[in-house]
Amino acid sequence: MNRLSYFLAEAWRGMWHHRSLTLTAIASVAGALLTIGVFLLFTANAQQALTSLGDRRELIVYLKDSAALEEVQALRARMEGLYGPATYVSKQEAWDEFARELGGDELLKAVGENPLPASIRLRLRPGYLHFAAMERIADSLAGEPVVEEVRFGGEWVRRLDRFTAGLTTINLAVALVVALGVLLVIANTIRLTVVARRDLLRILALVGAGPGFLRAPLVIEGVLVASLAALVALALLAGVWLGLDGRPFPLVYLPWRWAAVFVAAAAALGCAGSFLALVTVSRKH
Amino acid sequence: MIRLTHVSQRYGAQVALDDVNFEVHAGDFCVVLGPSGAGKTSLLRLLTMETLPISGQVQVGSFISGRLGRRARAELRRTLGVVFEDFKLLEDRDLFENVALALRIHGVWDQATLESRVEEALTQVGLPGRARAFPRELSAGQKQRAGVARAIVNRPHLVLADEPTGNLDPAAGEEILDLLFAIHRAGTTILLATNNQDLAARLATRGARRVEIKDGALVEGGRA
Repeated sequence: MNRLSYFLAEAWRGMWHHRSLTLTAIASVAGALLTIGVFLLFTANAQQALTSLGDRRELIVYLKDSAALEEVQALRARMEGLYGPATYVSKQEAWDEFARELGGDELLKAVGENPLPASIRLRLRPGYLHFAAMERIADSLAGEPVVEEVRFGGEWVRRLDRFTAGLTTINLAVALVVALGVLLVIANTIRLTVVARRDLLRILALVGAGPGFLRAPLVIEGVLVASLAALVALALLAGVWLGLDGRPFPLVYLPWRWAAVFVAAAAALGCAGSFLALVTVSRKH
Repeated sequence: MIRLTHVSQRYGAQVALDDVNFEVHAGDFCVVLGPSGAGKTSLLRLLTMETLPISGQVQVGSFISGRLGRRARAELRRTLGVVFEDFKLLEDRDLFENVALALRIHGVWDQATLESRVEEALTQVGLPGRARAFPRELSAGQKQRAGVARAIVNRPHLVLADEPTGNLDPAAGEEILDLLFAIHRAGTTILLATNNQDLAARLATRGARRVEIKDGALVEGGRA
């Protein structure tokens, strides 16, 4: 048995020995983590929705009727290289599209000559899908000689950005409050564990155990409690997801990377909570 | 091996040790005799550096009080063997785990080495083949033997024994003393604290150095 497996076994032994305390701690931490989980689930689904909406966040560059096709193609190629896929839509294609959407031949006949300009439709790469970047790109393209006008849904994009930023702020605030709660629950659990095991710790100290030897199983215990609580919270969250999925919208579960970070963050909190508790305990030995 | 220089220790208004000067040399078997509350436990706690003196200096081997952090104190304890009156065995672990604990704390992790060293120590104290027994399955005398095995498994140069026969019947107590003398003959320095005058007298007749502790002062009792 090597050092790590020994400390793991000791931590497990401690948890099993004080299983009611351990279960209470896991339940408390899982409850707190579930709050974060629900917000994350909401965020994941909001982001999913925003991504599909974000696909529509395109810039339309209207071209002057006098622009030569070579100049337009050169601009299109430059835009594609810099910002993302760019599609040239000729006057005729714009007219055909307009006709398809409008449907009625009568009105079209009344309009007579095609008044629509040719355009380049630019679908921005994800890194440019925010208001500030879009405005900058629009200003830059507006200065091109062949460009008549650049349009994008400025106010709409700004609202989307605000919504995303608000969601992130709420998530961070909730995560901060819950993290503090988890930290205190873990710290108190480890403190209680230390009190319950003070005889064992005293014997270990008298036999020559250093701070590391005394702390390691307790820190691992904090990490295990928090990690198990995170897994329980994810399982409960899966229940919430299954309960809400398709009523009325289809929902996605947390991406596996988010779930992994969720467990890792809980483990880190467990570690920090244990250290917090042990700051006072280690002084006694 | 042990040197106390003008050591005083106090708990509130109660004086435990008062300006004590005391030395134990390598190879000694030293008995510290004194009634309860005389300061024996305070002395042993100073030697394990569980507590530090309010004045004076305690030196155990190369470790000197006053300059020791937590790690260094733990390191000091790893150079000692300590036998306790109440055995201080871990009841939920078998003898192998109890004795191996001292080795693991010492940094021994290889399973084969652990097994051979534990069995060697158990054999030395008269408990061969009992590695898988739990403390609850043992008599008090056997528990104290296991405690001695844990104290000597790291082959320390100094063993501190705090009332090692206090919880034992006379026969079992005598066996433990024989065991400590055998360890002493093998070259280990022993410091034994007791409040039992008969025991101290018997140890003195077997060549132990006797020191009396009374009202916080140490008085050399001479060799028998």
